[in-house]
Amino acid sequence: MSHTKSTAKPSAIEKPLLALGVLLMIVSLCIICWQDAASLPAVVLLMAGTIVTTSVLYVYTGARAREDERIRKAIAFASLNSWLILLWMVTGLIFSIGIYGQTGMSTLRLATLVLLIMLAVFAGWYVYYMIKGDVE
Amino acid sequence: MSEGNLKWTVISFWLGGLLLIATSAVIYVWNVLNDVTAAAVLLGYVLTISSFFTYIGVDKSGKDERARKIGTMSAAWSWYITLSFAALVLAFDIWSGRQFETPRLLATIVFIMAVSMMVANVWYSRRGDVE
Repeated sequence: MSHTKSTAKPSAIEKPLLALGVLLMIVSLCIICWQDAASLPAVVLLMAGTIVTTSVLYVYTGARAREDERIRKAIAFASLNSWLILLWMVTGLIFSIGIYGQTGMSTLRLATLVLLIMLAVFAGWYVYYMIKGDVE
Repeated sequence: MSEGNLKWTVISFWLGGLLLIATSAVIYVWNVLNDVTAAAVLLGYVLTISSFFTYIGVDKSGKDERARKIGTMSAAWSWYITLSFAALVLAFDIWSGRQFETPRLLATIVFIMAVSMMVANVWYSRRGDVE
Protein backbone atom coordinates (compact mmCIF):
# COMPACT_ATOMS: atom_id res chain seq x y z
CA MET A 1 0.00 0.00 0.00
CA SER A 2 1.45 3.33 -0.94
CA HIS A 3 1.93 5.90 1.81
CA THR A 4 1.01 9.37 0.66
CA LYS A 5 1.07 12.63 2.57
CA SER A 6 -1.70 15.17 2.57
CA THR A 7 -0.52 18.26 0.72
CA ALA A 8 -3.68 20.25 1.02
CA LYS A 9 -3.37 24.01 0.90
CA PRO A 10 -3.86 25.76 4.22
CA SER A 11 -7.46 26.78 4.59
CA ALA A 12 -8.21 30.49 4.84
CA ILE A 13 -9.28 30.07 8.44
CA GLU A 14 -6.01 28.62 9.76
CA LYS A 15 -3.94 31.83 9.77
CA PRO A 16 -6.53 33.99 11.58
CA LEU A 17 -7.19 31.07 13.97
CA LEU A 18 -3.50 30.94 14.92
CA ALA A 19 -3.47 34.69 15.56
CA LEU A 20 -6.68 34.41 17.59
CA GLY A 21 -5.35 31.50 19.66
CA VAL A 22 -2.07 33.26 20.50
CA LEU A 23 -3.95 36.47 21.29
CA LEU A 24 -6.38 34.64 23.60
CA MET A 25 -3.50 33.00 25.44
CA ILE A 26 -1.53 36.25 25.79
CA VAL A 27 -4.57 38.19 27.07
CA SER A 28 -5.57 35.47 29.58
CA LEU A 29 -1.98 35.09 30.82
CA CYS A 30 -1.69 38.87 31.23
CA ILE A 31 -4.88 38.85 33.35
CA ILE A 32 -3.64 35.94 35.53
CA CYS A 33 -0.19 37.51 35.88
CA TRP A 34 -1.62 40.94 36.70
CA GLN A 35 -4.11 39.67 39.30
CA ASP A 36 -1.72 36.96 40.59
CA ALA A 37 -4.82 34.79 40.83
CA ALA A 38 -6.68 32.56 38.43
CA SER A 39 -10.23 33.70 37.85
CA LEU A 40 -12.58 31.34 36.01
CA PRO A 41 -13.01 33.53 32.88
CA ALA A 42 -9.22 33.89 32.53
CA VAL A 43 -8.67 30.12 32.85
CA VAL A 44 -11.43 29.38 30.32
CA LEU A 45 -9.86 31.89 27.91
CA LEU A 46 -6.45 30.28 28.46
CA MET A 47 -7.77 26.79 27.74
CA ALA A 48 -9.63 27.97 24.63
CA GLY A 49 -6.49 29.75 23.38
CA THR A 50 -4.33 26.70 24.10
CA ILE A 51 -6.65 24.33 22.23
CA VAL A 52 -6.86 26.63 19.18
CA THR A 53 -3.11 27.42 19.08
CA THR A 54 -1.89 23.86 19.57
CA SER A 55 -4.38 22.48 17.05
CA VAL A 56 -3.26 24.90 14.32
CA LEU A 57 0.44 24.46 15.16
CA TYR A 58 0.02 20.67 15.10
CA VAL A 59 -0.93 20.97 11.45
CA TYR A 60 1.97 23.26 10.59
CA THR A 61 4.77 21.53 12.52
CA GLY A 62 4.56 18.73 10.02
CA ALA A 63 1.88 16.44 11.30
CA ARG A 64 0.11 17.15 8.04
CA ALA A 65 2.32 18.45 5.27
CA ARG A 66 1.16 21.72 3.75
CA GLU A 67 1.92 23.29 0.43
CA ASP A 68 2.60 26.66 2.02
CA GLU A 69 6.27 26.06 2.75
CA ARG A 70 6.87 29.67 3.80
CA ILE A 71 4.41 29.56 6.71
CA ARG A 72 5.81 26.21 7.86
CA LYS A 73 9.33 27.64 7.82
CA ALA A 74 8.26 30.85 9.57
CA ILE A 75 6.59 28.81 12.33
CA ALA A 76 9.55 26.43 12.63
CA PHE A 77 12.09 29.27 12.92
CA ALA A 78 9.89 31.35 15.24
CA SER A 79 9.50 28.29 17.51
CA LEU A 80 13.24 27.66 17.38
CA ASN A 81 14.03 31.23 18.47
CA SER A 82 11.41 31.09 21.20
CA TRP A 83 12.80 27.72 22.38
CA LEU A 84 16.32 29.16 22.63
CA ILE A 85 15.15 32.22 24.56
CA LEU A 86 12.99 30.09 26.87
CA LEU A 87 15.90 27.78 27.69
CA TRP A 88 18.13 30.80 28.35
CA MET A 89 15.48 32.41 30.56
CA VAL A 90 14.69 29.28 32.61
CA THR A 91 18.40 28.50 33.06
CA GLY A 92 18.97 32.10 34.15
CA LEU A 93 16.10 31.85 36.65
CA ILE A 94 17.39 28.54 38.06
CA PHE A 95 20.89 29.98 38.35
CA SER A 96 19.77 33.18 40.06
CA ILE A 97 17.46 31.31 42.48
CA GLY A 98 20.23 28.77 43.22
CA ILE A 99 22.76 31.50 43.96
CA TYR A 100 20.67 34.34 45.40
CA GLY A 101 17.66 32.50 46.85
CA GLN A 102 13.95 32.71 46.08
CA THR A 103 12.41 35.26 43.74
CA GLY A 104 9.76 37.60 45.07
CA MET A 105 7.26 36.16 42.59
CA SER A 106 4.62 33.54 43.31
CA THR A 107 4.80 30.27 41.37
CA LEU A 108 1.57 31.11 39.53
CA ARG A 109 2.95 34.46 38.39
CA LEU A 110 6.25 32.84 37.37
CA ALA A 111 4.49 30.12 35.35
CA THR A 112 2.29 32.62 33.54
CA LEU A 113 5.31 34.83 32.87
CA VAL A 114 7.22 31.90 31.32
CA LEU A 115 4.27 31.06 29.04
CA LEU A 116 3.75 34.73 28.23
CA ILE A 117 7.36 35.26 27.16
CA MET A 118 7.29 32.02 25.15
CA LEU A 119 4.26 33.17 23.19
CA ALA A 120 5.29 36.81 22.84
CA VAL A 121 8.70 35.84 21.43
CA PHE A 122 7.08 33.32 19.08
CA ALA A 123 4.50 35.86 17.86
CA GLY A 124 7.17 38.55 17.43
CA TRP A 125 9.44 36.33 15.32
CA TYR A 126 6.51 34.94 13.31
CA VAL A 127 5.35 38.45 12.37
CA TYR A 128 8.96 39.44 11.60
CA TYR A 129 9.44 36.47 9.23
CA MET A 130 6.11 37.04 7.53
CA ILE A 131 6.98 40.70 6.91
CA LYS A 132 10.57 39.91 5.91
CA GLY A 133 9.50 37.55 3.16
CA ASP A 134 12.21 34.91 2.96
CA VAL A 135 12.83 32.63 5.92
CA GLU A 136 16.32 31.23 6.49
CA MET B 1 33.41 21.32 9.28
CA SER B 2 35.97 18.58 9.94
CA GLU B 3 34.99 15.09 11.16
CA GLY B 4 36.71 15.68 14.50
CA ASN B 5 34.90 18.97 15.15
CA LEU B 6 31.55 17.47 14.19
CA LYS B 7 32.17 14.57 16.57
CA TRP B 8 32.89 16.99 19.44
CA THR B 9 29.81 19.03 18.57
CA VAL B 10 27.62 15.92 18.79
CA ILE B 11 29.28 14.84 22.07
CA SER B 12 28.84 18.32 23.56
CA PHE B 13 25.18 18.42 22.50
CA TRP B 14 24.35 15.03 24.05
CA LEU B 15 26.41 15.67 27.18
CA GLY B 16 24.70 19.03 27.71
CA GLY B 17 21.25 17.55 27.14
CA LEU B 18 21.87 14.64 29.51
CA LEU B 19 23.26 17.00 32.16
CA LEU B 20 20.13 19.17 31.88
CA ILE B 21 17.87 16.10 32.18
CA ALA B 22 19.79 14.63 35.15
CA THR B 23 20.03 17.93 37.05
CA SER B 24 16.40 18.87 36.52
CA ALA B 25 15.38 15.38 37.73
CA VAL B 26 17.51 15.86 40.87
CA ILE B 27 15.97 19.32 41.52
CA TYR B 28 12.46 17.91 41.07
CA VAL B 29 12.85 14.72 43.13
CA TRP B 30 14.76 16.21 46.08
CA ASN B 31 13.44 19.77 45.69
CA VAL B 32 16.99 21.01 46.05
CA LEU B 33 18.10 24.13 44.21
CA ASN B 34 21.46 25.27 45.52
CA ASP B 35 24.65 26.64 43.96
CA VAL B 36 25.80 23.13 42.85
CA THR B 37 22.60 22.22 40.97
CA ALA B 38 22.38 25.77 39.58
CA ALA B 39 25.96 25.52 38.25
CA ALA B 40 25.19 22.08 36.75
CA VAL B 41 22.15 23.48 34.89
CA LEU B 42 24.24 26.38 33.62
CA LEU B 43 26.97 23.99 32.44
CA GLY B 44 24.37 21.83 30.68
CA TYR B 45 22.94 24.93 29.01
CA VAL B 46 26.35 26.13 27.81
CA LEU B 47 27.28 22.68 26.43
CA THR B 48 23.94 22.28 24.62
CA ILE B 49 23.73 25.78 23.19
CA SER B 50 27.36 26.02 22.08
CA SER B 51 26.90 22.94 19.88
CA PHE B 52 23.32 23.74 18.95
CA PHE B 53 24.32 26.96 17.16
CA THR B 54 26.40 24.85 14.79
CA TYR B 55 23.39 22.60 14.13
CA ILE B 56 21.02 25.42 13.27
CA GLY B 57 23.53 27.33 11.15
CA VAL B 58 24.23 30.41 13.28
CA ASP B 59 27.83 29.19 13.37
CA LYS B 60 28.65 29.17 9.67
CA SER B 61 31.19 26.34 10.05
CA GLY B 62 28.28 23.89 10.15
CA LYS B 63 27.31 23.33 6.54
CA ASP B 64 25.39 20.11 6.97
CA GLU B 65 21.91 21.02 5.66
CA ARG B 66 20.26 17.90 7.08
CA ALA B 67 21.70 18.51 10.57
CA ARG B 68 20.39 22.09 10.40
CA LYS B 69 16.92 20.86 9.44
CA ILE B 70 16.97 18.26 12.22
CA GLY B 71 18.01 20.92 14.76
CA THR B 72 15.32 23.37 13.62
CA MET B 73 12.47 20.85 13.47
CA SER B 74 13.46 19.24 16.78
CA ALA B 75 13.47 22.63 18.52
CA ALA B 76 10.11 23.48 16.89
CA TRP B 77 8.57 20.22 18.19
CA SER B 78 10.18 20.69 21.59
CA TRP B 79 8.75 24.22 21.81
CA TYR B 80 5.32 22.94 20.82
CA ILE B 81 5.38 20.12 23.39
CA THR B 82 6.66 22.48 26.13
CA LEU B 83 3.92 25.01 25.33
CA SER B 84 1.18 22.36 25.48
CA PHE B 85 2.60 20.82 28.65
CA ALA B 86 3.12 24.13 30.47
CA ALA B 87 -0.39 25.35 29.61
CA LEU B 88 -1.95 22.07 30.79
CA VAL B 89 0.10 22.01 34.02
CA LEU B 90 -0.93 25.60 34.71
CA ALA B 91 -4.61 24.83 34.13
CA PHE B 92 -4.58 21.64 36.23
CA ASP B 93 -2.65 23.40 38.98
CA ILE B 94 -5.24 26.15 39.09
CA TRP B 95 -8.19 23.75 39.17
CA SER B 96 -6.71 21.25 41.60
CA GLY B 97 -5.55 24.01 43.94
CA ARG B 98 -2.15 22.37 44.28
CA GLN B 99 0.76 24.41 42.97
CA PHE B 100 4.30 23.44 42.08
CA GLU B 101 7.05 24.97 44.16
CA THR B 102 9.18 27.35 42.06
CA PRO B 103 12.32 25.13 41.76
CA ARG B 104 10.17 22.12 40.79
CA LEU B 105 8.26 24.12 38.19
CA LEU B 106 11.47 25.38 36.56
CA ALA B 107 13.07 21.91 36.72
CA THR B 108 9.99 20.39 35.04
CA ILE B 109 10.17 22.92 32.20
CA VAL B 110 13.90 22.24 31.62
CA PHE B 111 13.27 18.48 31.79
CA ILE B 112 10.46 18.58 29.22
CA MET B 113 12.47 20.87 26.91
CA ALA B 114 15.60 18.69 27.02
CA VAL B 115 13.81 15.33 26.73
CA SER B 116 11.50 16.40 23.88
CA MET B 117 14.42 18.00 22.04
CA MET B 118 16.57 14.88 22.26
CA VAL B 119 13.76 12.46 21.41
CA ALA B 120 12.83 14.56 18.35
CA ASN B 121 16.52 14.66 17.35
CA VAL B 122 16.85 10.87 17.49
CA TRP B 123 13.52 10.42 15.70
CA TYR B 124 14.43 12.77 12.83
CA SER B 125 17.96 11.33 12.56
CA ARG B 126 16.61 7.78 12.18
CA ARG B 127 13.75 8.75 9.93
CA GLY B 128 15.98 9.81 7.06
CA ASP B 129 14.12 12.65 5.38
CA VAL B 130 13.39 15.83 7.30
CA GLU B 131 10.57 18.06 6.06
